[in-house]
Amino acid sequence: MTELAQTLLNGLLLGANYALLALSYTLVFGVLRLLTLAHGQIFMAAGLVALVAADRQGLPLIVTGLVAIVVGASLGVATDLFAFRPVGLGRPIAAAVATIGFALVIENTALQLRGSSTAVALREPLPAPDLVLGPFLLSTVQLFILAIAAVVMVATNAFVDRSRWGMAMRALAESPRLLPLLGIPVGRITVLTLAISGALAGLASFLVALRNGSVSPLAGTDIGLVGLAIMTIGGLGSLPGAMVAGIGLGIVEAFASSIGVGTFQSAVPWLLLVLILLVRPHGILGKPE
Amino acid sequence: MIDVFQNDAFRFFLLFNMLVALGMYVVYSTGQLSLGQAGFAAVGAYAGSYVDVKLGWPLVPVLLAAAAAAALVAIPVAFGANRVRGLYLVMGTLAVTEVVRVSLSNLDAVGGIQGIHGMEPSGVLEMAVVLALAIGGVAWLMASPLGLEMRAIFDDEDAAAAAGVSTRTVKIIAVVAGAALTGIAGALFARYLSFIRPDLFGIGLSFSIALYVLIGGVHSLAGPLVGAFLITYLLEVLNRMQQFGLPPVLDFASPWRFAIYGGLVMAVMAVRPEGLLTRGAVRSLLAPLRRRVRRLRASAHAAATPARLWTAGEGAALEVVGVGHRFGGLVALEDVAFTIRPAEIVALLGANGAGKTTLINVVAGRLPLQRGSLRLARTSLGLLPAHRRTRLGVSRTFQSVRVFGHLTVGENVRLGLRAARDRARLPLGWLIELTGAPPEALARDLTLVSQRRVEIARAVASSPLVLLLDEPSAGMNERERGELAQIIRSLRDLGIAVVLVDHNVDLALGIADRIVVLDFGLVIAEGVPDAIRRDERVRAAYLGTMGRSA
Amino acid sequence: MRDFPRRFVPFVAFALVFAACQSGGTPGPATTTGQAVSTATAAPAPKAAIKLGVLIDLSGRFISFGKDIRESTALAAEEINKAGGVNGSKIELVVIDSAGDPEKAVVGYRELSDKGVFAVLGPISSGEAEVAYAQASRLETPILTGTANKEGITEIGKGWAFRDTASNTDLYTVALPAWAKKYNVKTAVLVFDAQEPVSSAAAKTAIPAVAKTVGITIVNNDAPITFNRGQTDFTSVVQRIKGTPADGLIIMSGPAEAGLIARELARQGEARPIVGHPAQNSNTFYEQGGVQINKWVLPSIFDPDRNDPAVKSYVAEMKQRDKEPPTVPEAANYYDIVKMVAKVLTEAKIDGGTDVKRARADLKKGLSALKDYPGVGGKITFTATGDADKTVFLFVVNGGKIEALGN
Repeated sequence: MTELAQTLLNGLLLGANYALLALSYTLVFGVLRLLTLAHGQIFMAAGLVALVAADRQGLPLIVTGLVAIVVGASLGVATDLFAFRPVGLGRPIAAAVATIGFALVIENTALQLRGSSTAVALREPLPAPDLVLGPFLLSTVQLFILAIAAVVMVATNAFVDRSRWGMAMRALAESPRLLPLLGIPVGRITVLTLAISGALAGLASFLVALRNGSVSPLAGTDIGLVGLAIMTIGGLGSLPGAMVAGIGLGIVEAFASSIGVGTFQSAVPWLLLVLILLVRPHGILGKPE
Repeated sequence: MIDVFQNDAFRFFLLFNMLVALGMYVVYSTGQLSLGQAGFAAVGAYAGSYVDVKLGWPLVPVLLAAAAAAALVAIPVAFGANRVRGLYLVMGTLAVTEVVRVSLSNLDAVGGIQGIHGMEPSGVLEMAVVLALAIGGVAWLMASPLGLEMRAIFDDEDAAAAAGVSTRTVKIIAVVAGAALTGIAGALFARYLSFIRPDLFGIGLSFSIALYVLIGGVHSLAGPLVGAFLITYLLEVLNRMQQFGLPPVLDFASPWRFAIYGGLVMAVMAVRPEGLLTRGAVRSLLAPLRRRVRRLRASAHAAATPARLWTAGEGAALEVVGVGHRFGGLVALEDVAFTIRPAEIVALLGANGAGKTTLINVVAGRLPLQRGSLRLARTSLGLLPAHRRTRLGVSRTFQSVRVFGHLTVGENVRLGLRAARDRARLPLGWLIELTGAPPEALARDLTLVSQRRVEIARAVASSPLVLLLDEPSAGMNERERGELAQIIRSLRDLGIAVVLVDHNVDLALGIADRIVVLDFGLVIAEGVPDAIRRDERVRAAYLGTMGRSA
Repeated sequence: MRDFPRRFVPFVAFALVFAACQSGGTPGPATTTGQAVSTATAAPAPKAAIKLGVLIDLSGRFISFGKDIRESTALAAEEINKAGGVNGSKIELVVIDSAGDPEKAVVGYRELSDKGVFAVLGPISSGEAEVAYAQASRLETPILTGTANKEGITEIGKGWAFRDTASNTDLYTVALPAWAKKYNVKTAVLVFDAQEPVSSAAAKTAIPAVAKTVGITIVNNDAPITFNRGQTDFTSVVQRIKGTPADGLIIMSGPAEAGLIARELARQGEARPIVGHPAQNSNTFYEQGGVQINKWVLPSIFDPDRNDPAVKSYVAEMKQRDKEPPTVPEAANYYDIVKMVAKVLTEAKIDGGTDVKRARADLKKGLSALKDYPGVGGKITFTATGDADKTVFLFVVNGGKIEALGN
């Protein structure tokens, strides 16, 4: 029973990070109807820069987190500037390919400047003992991560649903051609969307780094693809779908790992994707176009 | 820069990349962006290697086995691909790559994660021959009518179905054919290395192949080949920058070459979003095309008015009886009934939301028949899908113009001709004249009005018994409307039963033989134009819009 | 259908011309680079250089290894040239980046062979080496790796491939008994990375075989505990480890995963002795695992503190040259390889003017016959398969600090 509960907790933790990353993809797709394949690399770069800075300058925890968020947001905006804007909003495939190019640039810059070795820092982020809550063995770090992830997810949803900018973003998703006619600055909305999306990716990276104390420059591609898979499973453009799918995948992966599925572990998100698509061709909460 | 070609291994991988790009081109030409190609290559490589090492088969059977194995695996994928669209399709195929790789890693019978050793070596020559044959085969395919259907599906799948294309079947064929080709490439790859492992065919390879096609340009066969060639060449040349005797400051290019490549990808997408070789660019390079065009034009001028297709007999062309349709709780059509005979023009009038387009969609098969019956001459249409109805003789145009933008005017029309089946064919020249546009122009380059005429010509090309025109005069000025009216009358003279939906009441009243008026899904009036003009109920429904030009 | 033949003749022709251009890649006679041709009756022109190919990763996942190896091979070449070169010819290194990609390794190997190198050093990873070595008998160019340690890859080279690093079998034939003796281990749990071909090969074949011969029982043969390269969450893996009774743990993975596992083991209160894989002996491991790495035995093929002047000089030089210390231990193997090759060439009286085919054949023969070469990595002898009989050094990490494994 304890093991079951523990596995569930691990899954929740893993899922929370996945959900954050999937949210970052979904924001961009949901609002701009554009796919970005660079978010995996943004995730990696934000965490890498933050950890290297923390290691060299001895930054406190909060500042490290902020560095990750800021780097993430900046790279998000850079995606808009270098990949989306030159291509224009009406050409989704070309825009996606451009983001592949951008991802290559980020990854190789990181490799050339940093080497292929993992960056390590944040060895003892929160010097507090582990908590025992009933059947769960919870470290303060894990609690911290869960709390932050939950708060951010709720906040993002609230922002999109209730704020004025959020409304503008949703309007853009519905009718991209109408907004300029109403005098609403489309450019600013896209920048804001990409900035928030990049910040989410950076935050997710920071939270993962909190748990492991490391970021590998090679991690970008794999995590990026998993993020895409989760967004697809949850239903393209659906924020609640991304969160449900992210947490769901985390739990499924945790159970798979505890049973021991060998090489199939890395195929879990993809098998899940195929199964879900067969039953619901638009993802769990997605809507047909 | 040239001596890079002296490297035998480079030559091989260059040709390999071109072949797999070609394989993906076959699939993507129907609009299915497959990121599963690496999976098919892996299946082919493993199947080929297995029969080579364990059974000692020679080259050609090995390649056939590879193609067969890849095709077999592709069949369920193709069926699955039919159920999903857009990005869901892309992600689903990506999943295929990963699932195949992991499955092969676990299949100890074929070496598992360690792979297979010891294949008979093949070299550049075999690959070159296979590539040449493949190029020939794919070129033949794309120039064939099937190829035309594939390219139409790329542009507009629904319109292709309306034009009589069996979209499901064609899409499945494309996936399976592309997979077979890629499987052969995989087998040759394995033979060159005399060794394979599952991780050689990972997601990275699928993405690379996609880049070759998307950067090279997908609207012509040359595009993916050129894309694969240039990218492979560029990366290798950048790898050797030191050897060109350039100033040392450029030495960074070698280790940074992937970043440089990424930058170039972004630049290309900004400048040429459809890829380097757009269809226009390729066509302008091909002079022989011009000659063919001149021949076609000549025949167009010589076109005489075609003979009648149908005679206005006693039998009805189309019988609509008791048709009802609801969208959830909303009743769109309620017990609609009318008939139309050959060589008759019936105009469907009604306010917005009265149900006109819904009725057309139900008759054409785009919406399922929920209640009532539809008969074309003596055949019941009720259960048939849209493309089958077109082949039987029900054609339609759409409210918002749907032509195949990347196909020429001539190709749009020829696609329609395919659905004519065993009915008498209208002359191509006359149909082209109907469009009022040059046959070699790309449909996307035409004005809206011209496109509409192309769409009508395509619909007429299938020699329909019943033609459903949905808002054909939208966007036309008075002169154009006059030309349209002429065209519709000449269609009636051919014997076609034309159902016309249009907001321009003057046009409708002017050319229709009979009018059917819908209001809130019900037929409230039916009769000759004069009678309708005076009908009280119609006046009430329209609140005096009668007689006013739209 | 009408336009088919004309439109595509150019492409069909292109493909055929391509095939016709293939010339089989047999190496031509040695080109003399850098040879000054003087028409005057001046002093005799300097001898042609002997070219050695270096096929390593300068981009991609092994870039950190590649950079160190580039330095160590350059150092070796410099030292040789300073001492007069090989029979008067200087050693010239031709470096090609394989980017961690097996295909590029094949292209690079071919390229170097076409350029007339006498031997190729590399590739770094077993993944690349396995694929590249299959070309060795076609290219007939000796190829030597100092890092790829997957079982069986030298045999693929059919006599032309050599390996100056210990195979997994050799490493663990030494490591397992010493570990068992020190910590009194009779039964062990085997944990490995299922995704990564090399460590999973070690785990599936070498380790069980060696364990059997030295009397250690692997308790979970039918219930393997695995994870995947790149995995960062090991909570459930360690839970399963804890739930498996045995005297010790055998953990096959890369350094990042090992460090994370060490932390998780400590967090869950797991304190049994461990034996790991040499790949773990890198900065990432220590930074990740920190003081929580305990009783972790590592076999290695290089001991930087060995009391030998050549070792001390190598270590000192590399400290100066390496911009991002510490240097990977395997760089020493490549240093040794350059020097071994130079020695064999010198003894076979080969210089830059020798015919390439003959030079390669003689080099192959000489390397096979090499006995007890005193490298900085210890004594080296090549066996019949081309693998090296090497000294295995044993270390243990306690509290995050590495030290020699005493008795």
